[in-house]
Amino acid sequence: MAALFLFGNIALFIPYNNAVEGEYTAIIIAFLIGALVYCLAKFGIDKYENLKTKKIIIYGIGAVLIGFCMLVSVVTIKHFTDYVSADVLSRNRKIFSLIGFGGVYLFAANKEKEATAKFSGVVFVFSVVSMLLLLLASLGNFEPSHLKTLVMGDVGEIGKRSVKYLFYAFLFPVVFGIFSAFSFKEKNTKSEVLGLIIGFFMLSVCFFSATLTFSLSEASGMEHAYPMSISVVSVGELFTRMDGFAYFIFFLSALVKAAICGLSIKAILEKMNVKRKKAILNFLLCLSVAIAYFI
Amino acid sequence: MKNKVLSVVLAVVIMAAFCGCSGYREPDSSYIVTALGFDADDEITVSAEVVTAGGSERSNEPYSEILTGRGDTPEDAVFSLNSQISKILMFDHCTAVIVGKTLSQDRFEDVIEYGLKLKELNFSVYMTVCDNAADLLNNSKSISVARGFDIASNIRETKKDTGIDYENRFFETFEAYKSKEYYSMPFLTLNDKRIIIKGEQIYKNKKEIATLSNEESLMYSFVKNNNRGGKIYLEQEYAQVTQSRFKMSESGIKATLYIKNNSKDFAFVFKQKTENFLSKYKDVLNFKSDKLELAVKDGV
Repeated sequence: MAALFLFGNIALFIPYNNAVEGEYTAIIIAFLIGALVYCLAKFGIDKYENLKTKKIIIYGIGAVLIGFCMLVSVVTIKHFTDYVSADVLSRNRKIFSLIGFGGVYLFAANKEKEATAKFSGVVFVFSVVSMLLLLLASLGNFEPSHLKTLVMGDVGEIGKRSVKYLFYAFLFPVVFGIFSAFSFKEKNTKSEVLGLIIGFFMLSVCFFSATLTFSLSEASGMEHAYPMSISVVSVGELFTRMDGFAYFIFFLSALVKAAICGLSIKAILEKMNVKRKKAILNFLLCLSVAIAYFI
Repeated sequence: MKNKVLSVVLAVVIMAAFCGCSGYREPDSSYIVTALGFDADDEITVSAEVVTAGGSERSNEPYSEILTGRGDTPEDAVFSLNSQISKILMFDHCTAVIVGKTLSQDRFEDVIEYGLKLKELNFSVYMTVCDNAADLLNNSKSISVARGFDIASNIRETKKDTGIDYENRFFETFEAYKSKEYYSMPFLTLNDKRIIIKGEQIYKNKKEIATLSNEESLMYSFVKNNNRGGKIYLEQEYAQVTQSRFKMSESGIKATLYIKNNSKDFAFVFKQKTENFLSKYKDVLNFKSDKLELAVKDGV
């Protein structure tokens, strides 16, 4: 779940669209900050989970955390449905892909966390195995000289565009920290860290697959370079244009990420001990989907 | 029971999301573009080979025809073509783009930019060149369903048989065009109304510098270490080349060929032909030397 949460919607934009010098440095720094924020968030939210104090404080903190979870789910849903309506179902209106994804999201978020965990386990294995096989099949298209164009830029070149990475570096770890703290009675930090490392590895596969196929300057000029790099892979004459696998992996990982956000909201509502938890949960989930459509 | 029903509903929703059948069309309401040709005089002429599927009647076999449009840019030309027809053009199955020699390199850049913008056009489409794309398409007959598929098949068979990799898929060509000194595309011509590969057109700094014959193209693939191995026939001699290594320096070219099932004088003829090629194109293709030192080893 950790791997898929990290991979989630971030993979859609790798390498970053029209990234300028300094932006890749900002991304690396963001990952490092994210790791630190994650540790702090887990510690803080553990404290919140066991907090016994005035309702207003619990509600206030809870509302802020719910806001974070909704923000991540909105961003995830929006990115994925924008991608689907641009590349996959370009002849159809975005509302249909939003309704489809939203429906599945609501269903998944209303299930128990164990069900989501089992589903994530299957998705994780499928995604990692598919990506590795596609990477092997892509080797013939790789041009090692394309890596020479990778220029990281100095810290001083981190510009305004990079602020959003620093924002996500704060937001995503907090939300996953919420899920991790609330969801499972037995804390398993080792497997979470391993999951995050694997998620980072999956993002790297996307980056290097696109960069080695097209070169960094061309890949960052494309809207979604990883599926493009998979679309030129062929195994014999029968298996060509396998970008369908990329679409499927993106769908599943976005769904797991959004479901984690939904389950986190559910867990916070339980902590807040509000009445009509289910109705409020579904209202917030629907609101996330609606916001994703209108922004 | 409720969970089972919900699981079935979820499975149906997910399946519907993946099959991509929304926005479908009946086969006979679309033109499937299999090849695109671009020529230029005052305007750009686009010649699109389109295949119409037979429709619901079994007796209607798919057939191809050539449609033409003209405009100031490739996009305008395709738009003008579109405005003449009642069906929708589908570019998803286009396998070949043929660039006529009348197209200048500036116009060629317009074609590349258009290809990048056209999302349905797969980056694996093969880029080729000929004297006149419209004439090539109009005066040829297809062996398979469409000329575009024939061209793609020719290129793949050449690679499989002789090991020549033209590196002319769309993304390879546009990357080479933008950032490399040299790039090339297979040169097409007609032979008894069939489209064949006549040789290879070489460009340097976006200018045409040489048109190689098929044999020269083979030598070129070895010299630039780009040959994937295959059955090589030179005059009366032949060999199965499994691997090759060419190392170029000012003092000469050291080459190692791994061969098997070869005829007696293959190595001699290969050396002679390669040296002739190097000597002929030394200045044009900027080879450091035209002297070849060839070692032949047993291939696996």
